[in-house]
Amino acid sequence: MSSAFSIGGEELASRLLVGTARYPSPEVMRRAIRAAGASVVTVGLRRQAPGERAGEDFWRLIRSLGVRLLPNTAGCRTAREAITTAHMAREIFDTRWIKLEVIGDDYTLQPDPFGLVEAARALVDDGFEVLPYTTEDLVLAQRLVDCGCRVLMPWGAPIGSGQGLLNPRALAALRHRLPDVTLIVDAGIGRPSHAAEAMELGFDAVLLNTAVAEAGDPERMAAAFARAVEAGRLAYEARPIPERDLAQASTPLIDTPFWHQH
Amino acid sequence: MNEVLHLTVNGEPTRVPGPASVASLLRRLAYDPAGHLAVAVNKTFVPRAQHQHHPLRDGDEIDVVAPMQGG
Repeated sequence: MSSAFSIGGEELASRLLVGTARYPSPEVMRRAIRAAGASVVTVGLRRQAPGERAGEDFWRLIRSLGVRLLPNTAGCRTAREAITTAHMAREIFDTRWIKLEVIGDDYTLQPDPFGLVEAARALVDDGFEVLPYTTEDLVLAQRLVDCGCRVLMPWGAPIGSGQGLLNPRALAALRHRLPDVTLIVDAGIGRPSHAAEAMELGFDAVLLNTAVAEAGDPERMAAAFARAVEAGRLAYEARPIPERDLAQASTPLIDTPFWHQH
Repeated sequence: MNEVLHLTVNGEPTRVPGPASVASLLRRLAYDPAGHLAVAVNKTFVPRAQHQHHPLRDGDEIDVVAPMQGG
């Protein structure tokens, strides 16, 4: 087993966090979350008409899973919208954790760094444990840490794109420069190998949704991701060998048959 | 006084007799009082404990939200 992992001082059994959207059915979602072994799942908020039951039905389902909830501020385009959404989420879900999203571009769903910092500062001051969805930009990451964020969630690639880690060197630089911050790759993961790569870079956890929810068999894919995350983490803790330019025989050659010194 | 308040609730134009509070609006629209709902007025959060005391004004925009799936 790999070492323990915590968010906001709370120790978590799994380094794989999953979303609750886009599954073919609530039952498939429930089975996939169980197969992922996730101890944290993300949830959202939407406008609800009077008499509509969707919210209550989802609430009951999600409570039955016995997992920690991480509400998001999806769809917010300004710091003010995100701050208000975070407060509504805190009341409904009874948690101070918030996945802070402030979107700056409709095509890439890239975070707005300026709105993100503004909202993060306000929410930390209001007592939230803020987990900002951010880019791989190092200086933005440092600003968010300055605001009091103890967890950062840089994207691997645009949300739902399944492209994997587009800028692994920048992600590695974040890990190197922010050794004490909990880093979670959020968004863009498509395959278990992408998740393993993030974990091998030393990321503390991976958060994904579409890669499991829209897989041909979400439950099986969730199980595959659980193993990939665990394998990647174990590999990081085991300290991989450095890359070399030339071959280096793995079998010791001295005194092998026909051995002679050149 | 039978003042009518022109409100926008979740993007829909809604008229209610005044005076009204967040709590009276939710009752009038038949929202489940035990439901998992949160409210913002003009993009500012109004905590449940203040629903009774938060007066609504003509032109207010109200958002009523509930849990949903999210990534």
